[in-house]
Formats: sequence, C-alpha cells, structure tokens
Amino acid sequence: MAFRNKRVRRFVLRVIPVVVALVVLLISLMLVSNVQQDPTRFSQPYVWVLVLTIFALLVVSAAIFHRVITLTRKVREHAPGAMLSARWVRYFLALSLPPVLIVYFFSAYFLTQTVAGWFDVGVEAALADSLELGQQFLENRKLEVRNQVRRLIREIDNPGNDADVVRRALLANVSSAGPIELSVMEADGRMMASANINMLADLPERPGDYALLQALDRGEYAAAEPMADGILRIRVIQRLPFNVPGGQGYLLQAIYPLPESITTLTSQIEKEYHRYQNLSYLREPLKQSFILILSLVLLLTVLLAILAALNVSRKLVTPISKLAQGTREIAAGDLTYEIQGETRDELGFLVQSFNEMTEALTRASQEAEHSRAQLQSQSEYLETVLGGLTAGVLTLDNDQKVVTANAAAEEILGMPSGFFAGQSLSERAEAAPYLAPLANLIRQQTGRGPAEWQREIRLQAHGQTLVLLVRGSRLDKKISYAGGMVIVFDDVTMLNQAQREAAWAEVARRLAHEVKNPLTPIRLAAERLSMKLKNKLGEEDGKMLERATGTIVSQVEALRSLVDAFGDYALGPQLERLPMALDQLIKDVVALYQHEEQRVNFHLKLVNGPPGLSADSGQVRQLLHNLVVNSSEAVADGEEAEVHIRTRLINQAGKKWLEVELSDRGPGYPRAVLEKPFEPYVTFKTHGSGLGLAICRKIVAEHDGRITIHNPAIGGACTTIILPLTQ
Amino acid sequence: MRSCASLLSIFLFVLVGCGQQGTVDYGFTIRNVSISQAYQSLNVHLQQDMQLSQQAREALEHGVTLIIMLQLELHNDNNMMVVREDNRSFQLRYLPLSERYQLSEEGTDELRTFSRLRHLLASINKLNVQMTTGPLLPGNYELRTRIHLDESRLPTPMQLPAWFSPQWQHDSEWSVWPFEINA
Repeated sequence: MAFRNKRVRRFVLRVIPVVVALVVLLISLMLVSNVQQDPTRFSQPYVWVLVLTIFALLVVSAAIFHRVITLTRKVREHAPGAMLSARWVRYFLALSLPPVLIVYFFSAYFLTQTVAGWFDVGVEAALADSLELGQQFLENRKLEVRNQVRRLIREIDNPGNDADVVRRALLANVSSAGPIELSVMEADGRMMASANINMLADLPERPGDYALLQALDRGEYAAAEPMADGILRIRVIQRLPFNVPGGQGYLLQAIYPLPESITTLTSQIEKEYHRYQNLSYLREPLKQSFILILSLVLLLTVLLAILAALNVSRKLVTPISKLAQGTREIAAGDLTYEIQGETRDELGFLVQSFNEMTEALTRASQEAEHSRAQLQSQSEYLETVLGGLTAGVLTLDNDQKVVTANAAAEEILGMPSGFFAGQSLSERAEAAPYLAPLANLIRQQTGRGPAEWQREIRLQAHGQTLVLLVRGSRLDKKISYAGGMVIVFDDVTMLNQAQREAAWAEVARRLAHEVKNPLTPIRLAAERLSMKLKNKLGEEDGKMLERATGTIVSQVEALRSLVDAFGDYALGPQLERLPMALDQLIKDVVALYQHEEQRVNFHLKLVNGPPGLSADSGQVRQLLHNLVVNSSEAVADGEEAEVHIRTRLINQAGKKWLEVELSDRGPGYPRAVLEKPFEPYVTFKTHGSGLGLAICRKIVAEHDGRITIHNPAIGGACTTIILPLTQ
Repeated sequence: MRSCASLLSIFLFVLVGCGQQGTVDYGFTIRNVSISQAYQSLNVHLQQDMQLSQQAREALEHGVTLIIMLQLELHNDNNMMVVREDNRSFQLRYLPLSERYQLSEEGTDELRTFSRLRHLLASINKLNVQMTTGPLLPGNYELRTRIHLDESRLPTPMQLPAWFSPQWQHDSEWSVWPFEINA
C-alpha cells in the first residue's frame, strides 16, 4: 500500500505542475484570442495570469535545469542510456522547435497587424470632425442662449432686494424650451432667488468658482457642462445691471437644455471618440502586452516541450538503460541481476526475455560451477594420489609439454618444484643435460611403438648414476590431451645397486669359499714337492723346480689376497663407530707413504677434527688406503704422484656433513669406470682386483655417507666423500 | 521583427523607468491633517499637494480614467489595532466634447466638472472627510493617511508598465497624525 501511495504521490507531484502550467497556458491563449473582441478589457486575471505564467516558467525551468544537469552528468559518466536519452532530446527539440517558432512569429505578426488595423486615419479624422461638429453646435447654441439671456436681463427691471419679486420675474421667463432654470445669485454664489420649469426640482446647482470668477471678471460665462445628473446642458452666467448697496452685484444664471436628439448624438460621438482615443493611446501597451503574453506562451511551450522531451526520452530509455546496466552487471559476473518494472510493450518483452536469459545463465553457471567443483575435487584427489606416490609421474600433451609432474618426479630427478611446468622435456633437457636420455626415450616412443612400454635408463646426475625404470602409456584419443602420454618412473638405483651388491657378495662368498679351501693344500703340496725333490734333482732341474714351486706359492698367495678381498667385500657391516679425529687419521695414513720408496707428494688442507664424526677408524683407514693407492698407482712408473686431500664442513638438507676430497694429477678415471664407477671388477689397473672402489663405496654407504668420482677440468681424478656429523 | 522590437521596447522601458532619477515635479504629498471630533465620527480636514505627471496627464486626456485613492486608518494608542479604516476613491475623467475635467467620488452622486485640470486638482487638494468611527474611548489615537494613484485600476495593458515606471508613481506614503480624544 505504501508503495502504491508513493507512486500515486509521485505521479501527482509530477502531473499537477504540468497541468497548472497547461491551464496557465490556455488562459494566456484565451486572453490573446480575445484581443479582437474586447482589447481594452483584459479582465482582472491578466496580472495574475502573468504572475502565474512567470512562476510556471520558473518551475518548469528549474525542472528542466535539474534534468539537464542530471543528464549531462550521466553522459559524462557514460551511464547506460544517457547518450541515447540526450539524442532523443535533441531529435525531439529539432522536430518541435521550428513549428513553434513559426507559429510564434506568425502570431506576433498577426497580432501586430490586427492592433494596427484597429486604427484608421479616416475613422479618426471622421470622429474628430464629428466631435468638432458637436463642439461647433454647442458653440452656436451657447451664442444663441447668451443673446437670449442678454435680452432677458434687459426685460427684467430692477427688483430691488425683494426676493419674491425676483422669483416671480424669473418664473415668468422660464419655459421648457429654455431656459429651464433661472436663478439670481450674489457674487459669492449665494442664491437670492430661482425659478425652475419643474416646480419639484431641487435647489439650483451652484456654479463653480471658475465660472463665478469669469462671470465677475468678464461679465459673462457660458459653457456646455454636464450637470449633476450627467446630462449636458448650457450654463450661462451674466452680471445683472443693478447692484445691491454695499455688494458686488448680482449674477443671473440660466440653464438651457439641449435637444434630446442632439444630446444623444453628441453623447454617442463623445463616447466613441473617447473610446477611440483611449484605444489609440493604449495601442503600444496593448501590442507590448500581447507580444509579452505570446512570448511567455512560446517560452512556456518550448520549455514544456523540452521537459516533455526529457521525460519521454527518460521513459523510453529507462528499460534500455536497465538492459544496458543488466548487461554490464552480467558481464561483470553478477548473474543474479534482475531488471524490475516491466511494461507491456515490446521493451517489456525484451526485459522479460533478458530476465529469462539471466535465469538460464544462472542455472548454467551453477551447473558449470558444480562441474568445476567436481573436477577440482577430482583434480585435488588425483594430485593427492600422485603426491603420495613414490614413483615419479609426468603427463605430457601431444606437443610433449609437461602438463603435470608430481613431487616424486621432481625429487627423483633432483629438480626444483615447478621445473617442468608448461615446458617440454626436450627444452628442459637443454637446461639439465642429464635429462637427455629420458627426453630421447620419450621422443622415440611418441606416436609409434606399443601404446604401453617399459624401459630402464641411466642418468648421470651430479656424478651419480641414476637408474630409472620408466613406463609409458599413450593417452586415449577420446580424452583431453589426446596424443599425450603418461610417464611413470621409479628410482631403482638403490634396488639395482643392492641387487648387484647382493649378487656380487654371493659371488664373492662362494668364490672365497670354493677358491680359498684348495689354496692351502696347493701351497703345501708345492712346498712339499719342492722340499722332496730339491735334493733329488740336478742343479738345473732343481732350480727349475724351485722357480715353479715359487711361482705356485706366490700365485697362491695372490689368490689368497684376492679371496680375502672378496671376503671383505662379501662381509656384512660389522662397524664399530666411535668418535674419531679424521685429520689425525689422514695424517697417520699419509705418514705410511712418507719414505723414499714411495713417490707420493701429499698436499693436505684439513679442518681440525672435526668433532661429531663417528666412524669405524679401521674401515675409514682402509677407505683412505684404497684411494691413495689408486692415485699412486695411476701415475706412470718413475713419476711422482701428487695427491691433494682437503676436508671441509658443509651443510646439506639441513644437516652438517664432512666433505673429504681426494684428487690427483694423474690421467683420471677411465670412461668405463666413470660409467660404472663402483661396479666390482671394473678396474683400470693391470693387476687390480676391481674391488677397490666397490669396497670404498661399501664403506662409505655403511657410514651413511655418499661417494662420487669425476675427472676435473684441470685434469686428474677426484673422489669426493661426505660423511654425516652428529649435531 | 516588429514583435521583437516591441518586446525589446518593454524591457527598455522598464529599464529606463527603473533607472530614472532626478527632480520630479509630480506626486502626492499630504501637508496637513486636522482632526476634530464629532458625534460618533471624526471630521478630517486634509490638505495635500497633488500634481500629475506628464504621462498621467496625457493618459487622462486620451480617455484613461484615473482613480485617486484616499486611505484613512484609525489606530489606538498602542498602535497595534486598527479601530476603523475608511477608503475613498476619486475618479478623474476628461470630457472631450465639452473639454472639461470631471471629478466624482465613487459611492456618491457628487459630480463636478472643471474647465482646467489644475482647478480639479485644487479642489481635491482640500478634502473634508467625515469618518464614521462610532463611540471612541478617551485616549490617544493615531490617524494614518495615504493618498495615491491606483495603478491597478488603470487599463490592463498599462498596468505592467505603470508598475515599473516612476512616471506612474503617485503615492504620498503613509503619514501619521496623532490626536487625543478627551472624556
């Protein structure tokens, strides 16, 4: 109800001023239309109509000003529909103003001509002549009555001071043809005696001061005067020839009527002349007033037209503005926007369609959002699953660009998070060359071969061999990223190594067991054979026997050493880890090689201690021996080996480590060793067992450390060991 | 074009009218008022100078009837209440046939003609007005008088220019004449 009342009140407030303005306009037009009927009587509402018109003009002007300011502001703000509304107003004005102006100028011209047409020189002259004729008649009549009065005065004898005598004399001379009234008065106008043709008439009218003075000065006064009853009569006053003793004399006043026909005519002439003069005098003010009214009417009409244009344009554009606003809101993402206030016309249908469209969009958006949420949930689930996998997973699109890479993939390949995002493996292999085998493998499998495949590859990453078991599967063409591939790989380096080590350990154990047992009997048999036959053979045969049995014994010893080495390799970890000072242990080992027979120059750069190192000193001593021996045996005969040993403390993965770097200036590790650095029986020495580096790796691994080998650019071989330090 | 000129002339007329300054030889001035008490009335004798402007004379001779309004207001001593008010209207006309000026008081049958306008004005310069008041209590009173040319009674087309033209401003303004009523 309140809403309805508000609408009604707003409607009334809007309509009433316009209705009032229209009423004022109509009254003004009526005034102008009455101009020919009664121009001098504009009627009393004229002033009020003018005031109301000006007031209406002010009200309408204020309303227009407010609307124009609002419209201008909206145009500047690029409000929806503002430009269209302004264009509507311009068109409306362009259509309405020309006819209004034409009507105005034509009406003004018509009015001017009409007012000018009221006056005619001939009519004016005729009226003036008529008036002059009347005046001439009155003059003639005055002349006649003056002579009559003179004759009358001659006929009246001196009556003395007797008023009755005088009245009788006057009564004898009054007649209906004139004079109708005779009176004798003193110089100051006091009546002495009078006689009237009408016995019941009032006392005679006293003449004016001017008439008395003129009569006294000139002896006579004659004039046509309207009497108290408004009828024109001729008043003649003449001095009487006799005086009252002590007085200024007497005056005789005679009133003569005019013929009724003459009175009517002269009255009519005077009235028309009077009206014409009045009209002529008012001609310019009339024209000005008419033009003023017309101008006000024009101005009001134009302003009403502008107001109507503004209102109509606003009403027409409002639905379009709402549509534009709605479009903006929807474009901004607000799909709940609904346009209110539908009409029953085509624009209303458009608004209704728009609302239906937004509802459909809302439903579609909700469904899309639901699907997206489901997809997101599935994606998160998949990501969680992938993140939980220890196997590395890469998904590639048909351009071999990595779409997803789980954390295990980046960890296995030693890459930072996001390393593969949106990049192809080939591009990434340029940044990290050791990925090239993986990239090549995937490129080879793309688009050919079986849909699912499995390969084992080795990557040389940071001096370590990374063994990956790679399985690939091409994506179905029916799903997204058709033509892409899912790559799953496992780091089987440790598994591979453990399997190898286990195998080698088994080999070593059996070899030691099978080989070591017959060695002692062989040696004993050879020594017995030498001892039994040495004295029974000749000198030459005895020497040959001694050389043969010596060879057997030495080879048996060599075999024993080899078997012992196998035994060491095959033995499980039996460490006694105790705190130790590695710098001192290194110096002790170095001291063993500080004699003339050894051609090794050591260059030490050691940190003290360090504290926190817990290791089996025997194992570490063997580790150092193996490495020093490798370096010393790597140089050619007769050359001195240069061995650099450096220790330092490092931090890796939040832990403290001791890094031991041992390098020489020899020929470096052979390629076969670098490819399989810690593989048993891979050696570069003529008489090596091939277990040195394998044992080193085993010792380091048993101490939870890591060992790597590489050939520096400056030459030689370099072995780096890191061992954990306790906090 | 002529309509525009007419419109322009209105505003020029108003502007010139509003801007006119200097000595004026016309207008109404109340010089003296003498008051005497009568039976339930006051006899008011007014003396004033009344001169018409050239425009007013011209309008009169062109058949425009002029109305001169005399306003009397009787206030009590505290000046707050109007005890009685009396308005008299005098009509001035020119009769072209007899070339005489006619003076009449509205509401009465009195009609006087004058051969000269100055005689008419001289006759109206002294006015004796009997103001019926009813019984008045003894005390101090004020009689406020004003005489002016009534522009609202002019022909309608002349009213708007008359409002803005000083040539049509004939107004004595209110004058106050205190007197006392004795017991």
